[in-house]
Amino acid sequence: MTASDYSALCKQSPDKAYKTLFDEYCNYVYAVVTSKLRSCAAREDIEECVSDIFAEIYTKCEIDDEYEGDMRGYIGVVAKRRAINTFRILTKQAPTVSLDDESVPEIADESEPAQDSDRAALGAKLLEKVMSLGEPDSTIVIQKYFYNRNSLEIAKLLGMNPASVRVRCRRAMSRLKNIIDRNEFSL
Amino acid sequence: MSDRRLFDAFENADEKTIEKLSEVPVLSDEEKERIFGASKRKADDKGVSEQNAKIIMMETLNTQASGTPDAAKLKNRNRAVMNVAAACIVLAVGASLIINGLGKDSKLGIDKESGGTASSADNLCDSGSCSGAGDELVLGSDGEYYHPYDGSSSVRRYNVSGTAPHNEEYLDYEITDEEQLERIDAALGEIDRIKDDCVVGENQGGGDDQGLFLSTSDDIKYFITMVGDQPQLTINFIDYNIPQELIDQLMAAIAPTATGQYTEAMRLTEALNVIDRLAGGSDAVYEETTDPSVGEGYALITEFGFGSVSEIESYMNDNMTTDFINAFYGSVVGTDRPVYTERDGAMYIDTFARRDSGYNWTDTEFIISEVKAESFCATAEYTTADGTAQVKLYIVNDGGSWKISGLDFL
Repeated sequence: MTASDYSALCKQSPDKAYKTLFDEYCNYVYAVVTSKLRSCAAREDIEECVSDIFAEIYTKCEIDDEYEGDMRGYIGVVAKRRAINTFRILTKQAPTVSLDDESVPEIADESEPAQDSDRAALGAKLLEKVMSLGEPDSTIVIQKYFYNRNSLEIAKLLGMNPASVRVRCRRAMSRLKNIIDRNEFSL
Repeated sequence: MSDRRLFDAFENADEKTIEKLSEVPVLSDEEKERIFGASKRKADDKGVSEQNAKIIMMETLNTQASGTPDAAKLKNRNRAVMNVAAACIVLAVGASLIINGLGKDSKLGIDKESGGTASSADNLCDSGSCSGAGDELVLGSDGEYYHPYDGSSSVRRYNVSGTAPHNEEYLDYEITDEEQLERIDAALGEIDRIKDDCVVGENQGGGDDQGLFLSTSDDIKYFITMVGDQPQLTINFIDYNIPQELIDQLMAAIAPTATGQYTEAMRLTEALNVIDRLAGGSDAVYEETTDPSVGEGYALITEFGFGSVSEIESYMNDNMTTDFINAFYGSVVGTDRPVYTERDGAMYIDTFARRDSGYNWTDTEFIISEVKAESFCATAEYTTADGTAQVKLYIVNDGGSWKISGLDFL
């Protein structure tokens, strides 16, 4: 959806515009938030964060309605920023220090761009290997280990038996590990 | 590294990876509606706040411009604010009452008077008997009450859910060893000791997870389902707050080598399939003309997964006991007329031995049973021409390796 599409929809009906925007990007925003929060947040926290992001976009979004590009970029930035804030709140990793404190110069910047870049590359590689498992195994594995869904939920979404989901998942993970071992890259 | 940790690689995933991940269906319609509703409410609230902020700003500007506040406007606004505040208090009290009421009524349990239909379970929980061993807690799908640890059979089934909340591993066990059962009861007693309260509820899910459950402070859930006429207990670890020590204790008590046995069963069922196919010559590609000089009906193999007879022999010995090989698969390499033979480094197959072979395993989960220190059984399902059938494998520890020692077609 482009900004001008959204703007035009807003003029017709703001509610319809919100709903269209949400339907188009909710999976994307959910994936962004999950990638940032899955290690520290419960599912409710993730949902809360996603709803905060859309609320922010609805209310504060000052979009140039002449812009013909996809809104995904803008939404992605809002989502990442909000998810990182939520991460900090949940993990309480933001110590306040005085600038007069002698230890200030020794506080290291925890972000390591090189490491982040390596990790992103690993993520892409891992996804490629997961996708090579084929359907429905790749979907099951992602739902279970990335989105933290249980077998029953996955079974409902895919119209399968929970027992089959568990067996397929176990076998798929075993295959995935073999693939990873064969490719000799460490995760 | 745990399976779940493997996926930490997506933590700083690039845009393309995130887009692909977002293509995997994960949110149900209900979840989408819930999130959308919440975002809309928040947006609406923010809109109201911003509107109010603008009004206050206008009033401030009016005050500054005229030197006196716009008394009428401020009065009306204050009244409006007070009305909103009063409405909030009423709503809060009402909501509190509703929540309390719902909390009480939403504990679905067993109404003995209504013949086992769901109703308030306070009488069960308040009695102080809401332990995993509480007599009143289990209602079978047939409307009868069951004790979770007291099935009519001496065989108790423990379907054990894994060691981490997001890394569930289901293992279906039939345990007959009395000592092991005592250790399980002791570990379950420990869980009962640490819990604060409990809720009896009804799992609305389908499939094999359907049934009644007892949850304890959202930490542990005992799912009680009926497998035929047997109550089956599933223990779910669904929270981070369970002491790891307790989980380890319970897992150790229930299935000391559970994961290992399951893994071994998977390996051995696959090996059985491979060896059965070897016996039937299903995987070898060979020349159309036979070579009588090697033996009547033997043909040169041109494509095959095994390089030599000794390789086949070694594979069979790794997965089956000698007695079992002799009884079921002796003909593959070890008789006067083996299915496979060698001459001058080339492999030949007895084309007369060709038959349909192999096991096409279904996705149905194995049942691991009769677990002992040196042996266990694994029952697996496979596809036949008429549908499906089950085979029970007897597996023993043979010189440090788990091997198939026998099988029964059920």
